Amino acid sequence: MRRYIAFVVLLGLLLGVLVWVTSFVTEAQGLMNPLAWEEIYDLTIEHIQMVVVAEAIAIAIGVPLGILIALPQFRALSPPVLGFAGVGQSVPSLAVIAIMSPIFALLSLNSTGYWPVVVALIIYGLMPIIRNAFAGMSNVDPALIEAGRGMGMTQGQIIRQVQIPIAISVIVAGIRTSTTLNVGAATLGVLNGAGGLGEPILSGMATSTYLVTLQGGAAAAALAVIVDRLIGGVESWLTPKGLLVAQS
Amino acid sequence: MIELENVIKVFPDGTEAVKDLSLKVPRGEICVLIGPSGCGKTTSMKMINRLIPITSGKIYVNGQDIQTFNPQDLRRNIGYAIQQVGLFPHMTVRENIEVVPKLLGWSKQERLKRARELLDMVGMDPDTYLDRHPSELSGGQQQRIGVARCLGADPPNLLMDEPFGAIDPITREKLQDEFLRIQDEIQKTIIFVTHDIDEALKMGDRIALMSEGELIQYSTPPELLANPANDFVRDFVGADRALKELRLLRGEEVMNPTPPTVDANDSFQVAREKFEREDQQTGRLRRYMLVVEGDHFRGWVDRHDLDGQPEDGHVRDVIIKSAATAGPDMSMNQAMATVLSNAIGNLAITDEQNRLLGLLTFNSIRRVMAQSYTGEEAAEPTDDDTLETEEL
Ligand SMILES: Nc1ncnc2c1ncn2[C@@H]1O[C@H](COP(=O)(O)OP(=O)(O)O)[C@@H](O)[C@H]1O
Ligand SMILES: [Mg+2]
Repeated sequence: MRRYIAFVVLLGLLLGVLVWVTSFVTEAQGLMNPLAWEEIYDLTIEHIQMVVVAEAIAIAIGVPLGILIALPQFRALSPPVLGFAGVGQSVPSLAVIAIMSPIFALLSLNSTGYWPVVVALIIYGLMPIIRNAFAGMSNVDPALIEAGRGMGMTQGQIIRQVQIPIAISVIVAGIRTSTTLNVGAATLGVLNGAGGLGEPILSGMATSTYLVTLQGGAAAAALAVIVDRLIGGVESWLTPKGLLVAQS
Repeated sequence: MIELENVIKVFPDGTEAVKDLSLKVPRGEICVLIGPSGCGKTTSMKMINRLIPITSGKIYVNGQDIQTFNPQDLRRNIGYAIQQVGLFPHMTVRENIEVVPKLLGWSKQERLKRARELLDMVGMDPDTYLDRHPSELSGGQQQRIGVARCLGADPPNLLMDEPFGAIDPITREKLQDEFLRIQDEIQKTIIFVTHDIDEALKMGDRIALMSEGELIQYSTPPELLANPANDFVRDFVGADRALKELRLLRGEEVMNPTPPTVDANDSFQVAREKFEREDQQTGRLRRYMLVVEGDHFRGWVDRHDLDGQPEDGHVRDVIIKSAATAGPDMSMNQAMATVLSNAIGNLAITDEQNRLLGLLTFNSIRRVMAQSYTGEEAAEPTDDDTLETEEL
């Protein structure tokens, strides 16, 4: 595991260095119009912003929803909710983005640019979040819930003091999967004119300046790797100590 | 005090889990609910703290109808322990024990004081264990914490569903003994569920034997063994009923509380006179006598060792150390085992300070065993129980 993490971090660094180096290559050296470092930086920020907004909303919807459908009184809702989220996930990300534009148009909203893409990313990213929150909460040993009830905890106290602390690492793992997926999926946002790191990828291909495509791709990959590690860190930081001992 | 009045439970699927159960558990007593799997023990118990709603009937806790309480308030005032222990893995031992006190709004200092007190009570060092997590404890230690947790807010009533269930037999015996010792001090009213008849006989002041949702017999352990209500009870208790009765008989009940003794500080002359007086009273020749020093048990003296000793000597110069002694709680089957494994004929019964309480002879053990097999009235220990003619 540790070797795997080291490998992934190294890969991320290499990709980063690649992007950085390519930005210094000039036409004079016989290559074609690479993007300047500042341009890549701006696109990356744009990309991050898109993903962060989508994830924040996906988390705000997905985590409570996953927790809710794991409760005994709403358990009946879990098959339809998980089924709906599953559809969002199994449809290719490109199709989810593509379908948002006509839907926005139908609702007479601005059908190009940022928001249709963000909504698509929310739908695409919801599934791992809901699924993990649901699994984490419903996999808590029923004996613990029974013990809590028998000692006079209210349902809210059981959720907050027993179930969530035990399920937290699984919940965060869902957020991690979702975010990492969406860093990739957001590169397709350019097809609806949303900007981000998809832009150099697409324009590079359109104009056969493959170095630019490489820059965009490498930046997106580096971002995905970094995000994955970062949230992985949050995950182990949030996991209660007693559960870490249990796992070792 | 816990009282059930004509309680019936029918589950939504039509299962009649409890049929017209009436039961009264007096304050400070352990009532063991026992019966074959699926007979309704757990259901009966969970109706008391309203984890399962009753279909009809009434349940009173300390004289008050449980329906008049808010369920959470009711449960916070009834200790609850389950077979799976159910310690919260993400909390420390301390946090686990403090769950109910915290729900009740105790201050931090009060809670910590109580957690330490309870760890002491269950025989675990507070400084070592307070901040450990359940995963760092052995199975037996987890069960102890389970017990400590259900005593957290010092509730007068406890519900325990196979609290020593998932554990090896040796640790289990130990936990049972410890729990009985604790119960001696704390005097809680307890409903204790088990499916193990030996545990029931050992733990229960009263045993409620259930079958298919019905109460078949509710009586004290000796009564259950001696007078089974029907064949079901007889079968459930098992063929070795007589042996089980022995387990319930304690040394204290069988011993001769006033055996003849000599004092370690007696001169040989005085000791010889005591032997002779005994011989005259019983009409037999006594060989060994208990040696005490004040109240305290010191060993044995062989009358042959008194002969030919210098006249200024004392009994203590010829004391034979005792190979084994027993506490007043020692059961007859344990006493028998002790006598046999030490190849001795007699067992001095002493308290924790080694004060002599009485004498258990091989003969008296043998007699109560015979009685429990033939079912005849137990005779009072007689003088010839104290006749020591065999080797120690
Ligand atoms: N929630 C439930 N719904 C339907 N039947 C149940 C439920 N809980 C228990 N039962 C049934 O009620 C009976 C008594 O169960 P229980 O009290 O758990 O038995 P015990 O604890 O004596 O083994 C069993 O037949 C069991 O299958
Ligand atoms: Mg049961």
